[in-house]
Amino acid sequence: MTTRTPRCSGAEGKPRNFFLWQRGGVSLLDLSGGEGSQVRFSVLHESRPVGELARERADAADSALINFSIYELPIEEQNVFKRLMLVPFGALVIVFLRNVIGVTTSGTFMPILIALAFQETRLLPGIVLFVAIVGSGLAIRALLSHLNLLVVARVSAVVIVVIGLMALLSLVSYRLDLPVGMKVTFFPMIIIAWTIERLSILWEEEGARPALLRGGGSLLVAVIAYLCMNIGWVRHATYTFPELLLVVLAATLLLGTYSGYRLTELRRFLPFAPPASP
Amino acid sequence: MKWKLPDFVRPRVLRERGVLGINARNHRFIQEHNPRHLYPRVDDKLFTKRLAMEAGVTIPPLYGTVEFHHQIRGFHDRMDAHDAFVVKPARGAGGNGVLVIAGRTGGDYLKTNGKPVTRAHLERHLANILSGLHSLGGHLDHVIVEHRVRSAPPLDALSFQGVPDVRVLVFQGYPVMAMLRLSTSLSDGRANLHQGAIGVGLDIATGRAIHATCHNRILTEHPDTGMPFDDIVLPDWPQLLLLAARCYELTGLGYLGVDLVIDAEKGPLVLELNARPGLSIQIACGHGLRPRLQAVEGEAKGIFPKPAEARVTFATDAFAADSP
Repeated sequence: MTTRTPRCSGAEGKPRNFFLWQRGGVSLLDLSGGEGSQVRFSVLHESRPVGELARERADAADSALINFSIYELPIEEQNVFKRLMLVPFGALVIVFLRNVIGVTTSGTFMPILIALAFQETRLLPGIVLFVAIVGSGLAIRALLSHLNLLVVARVSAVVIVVIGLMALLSLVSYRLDLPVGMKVTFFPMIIIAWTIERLSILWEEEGARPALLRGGGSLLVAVIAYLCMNIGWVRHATYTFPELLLVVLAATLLLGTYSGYRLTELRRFLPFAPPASP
Repeated sequence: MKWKLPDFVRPRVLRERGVLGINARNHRFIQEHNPRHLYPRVDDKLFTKRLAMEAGVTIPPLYGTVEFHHQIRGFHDRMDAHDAFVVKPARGAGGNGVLVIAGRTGGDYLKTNGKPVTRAHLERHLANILSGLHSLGGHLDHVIVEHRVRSAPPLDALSFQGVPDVRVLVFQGYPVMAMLRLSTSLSDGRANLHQGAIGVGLDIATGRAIHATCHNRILTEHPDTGMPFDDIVLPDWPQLLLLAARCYELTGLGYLGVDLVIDAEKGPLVLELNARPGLSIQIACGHGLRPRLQAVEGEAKGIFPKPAEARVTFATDAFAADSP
C-alpha cells in the first residue's frame, strides 16, 4: 500500500512528523440529512511500562483482572489521575519541609494545591499571579475589617471580591494576548481566601513581618513542592507505577516519628551554643 | 562577597545540654501525656474556671458571664458593683478580644490607658465575642467577666505595661521549670516571648531570677523600666509552685503550662492553662528540659500521684539552680 501527499502534488510517501489517524476503506463519518457535524480527535502523550504493553498485545482478549491499571480509564480520567498521583509526593515534600526543616506555612496543605496550580500556569507567571491575588486579597480584607463582619461573612466577601478580580485579570490578559493570565482560574479559590484571612489576622495581631514570613514560607514550600513534582522521572514513576504510593506512604510514616531537632531550631536555640573561641 | 554559613548550634551540643525540640515535645510528651479528650478543660476558660473553683484553686473571681445576645442589655446593671473588670472570650487565644476596664466616667467606661469606652462600644465588643470574632475557628463563644488583676510590689515596677505573669511548666504534676514574663514596649504590653516580651528564668527552689532573655539575647536590666533583673525574688514562691502543681489534678494533662499572677488583693492566682506550652522557657532559664522531664518520669511511677506538696518538695530539691 502506498501513501500519497496531496499537498506535494501527490508525491508518494509521508511528510515528516506525520501521524496516520485511520486507514481502511470505511469512511470515518457518514452523514446524511445533517449539517455542521464535526470529527474531533483527543490525543494524550503517555509513557507505559514495556511489560504492560507486551501483555496487552498478547491478550487482546480482555481478562478483567490482569488489566487493572489506570491506563484502562477514559483519557479524561487518566489526566485527572496523572495530577492526583503527584499529590502524595507533594505531601511528602511538605512533611519533610515542616518537620525536618521547620518552615512555617499558612495552612498545612495549601502549598500543594498552589503547586498543582503552578503546573497549569508554569512557575514564574504562577508566582506573579499568586502574589497578585493574595496581595489584593489582603488589601480588600484590610478594608473589610473596618466593617466588623463576622468570620464566615468576611471570608465569603473576600472570596467574592477575589473571584471578581480573577475575572477581570482573565479578561484583561485575554485582550492583551497574554494567555497566562487566563489560567488564574486554576488557583483553588476557597483555600486562598482562608489563607488571606489567616495572614491578615496574623498581620493585625503580630505585625507585617511574621505575616510576610508565613506567606513567603508558604510560597517557598509551594515552589519547592512544584519543582519536586515537576521532575521528569517523578511524574513518570508516580503515574506509571501507582504502587509507589506505598513507598511514599512508608516514607511519610517514618518522617512522622522523627523526633530530632528541626533545622530552624539549631538557630532558635543559639543561646545554648558554647561561647566561640577567639 | 563571601557567603557565610549562618550561626547555628550543633545538634550534638543541644542533645548534650538536654534541649527539647518541637518534634520531640509533640511526639514524646504532648501526645503521650495529654489525651485529646482533656483539651476542652483548658481551651474553654469557663470550663477551667469551674474546675478550679471546685478544686479550691484560686483564680481571679468570676463576676459573670454572657452567653446569649439578649443578656447584653442587662450587662451594665449587672456590672454596677464593680469599678474595674476584665472582659474576655472563653475560647480566645493569645490574648485576643481581652478588654480591660479600669474605671468609669459618667455612664461610660475607661480603659487602662485612660481612654473612654462608650456603652455602645462595650456592647458591640460583647456581641463580637459571642459571634466568635476572637475565638479560634470562629465558633460561637461565651464572654467571661472577671476581676481585674493588679500586680503587687515588687513586680509592678518591672513590667512596661500589663501584669507580669509567671509561667510554670508542670510535668505529671511536678513543676519542672519556671519563668517570669515581662511585657516591653516592643511586645506592645503583651507577655508572649515571640512578640518581644522578656523571659526571666527563675530558680525552682527559691523563685530567684537566674537569667533573662529577650529575642534570644541575654539581658541584665529591663530595656524600658531600667530595673535590674539580678535581685528579683518572687514573693509567695512556695504557694505559687503549689498552685501550679495542683493544676495537674484539675486537668489530668501531664504536660501543662500554668500561667500565674500575684494580685495585690487576692495573692497568687491561676490565670490560664495551656496544653501546648512553648519551648522558649528553656532559653529563658538557660537550661534544657529533657533531663528534668526524665527525672520526673523516674520519680512519678505508680498508679496514684503523690500529693502536690510532696511533688513540689521533690522539684525544689531536684531542680534547684545550684544543683547540676
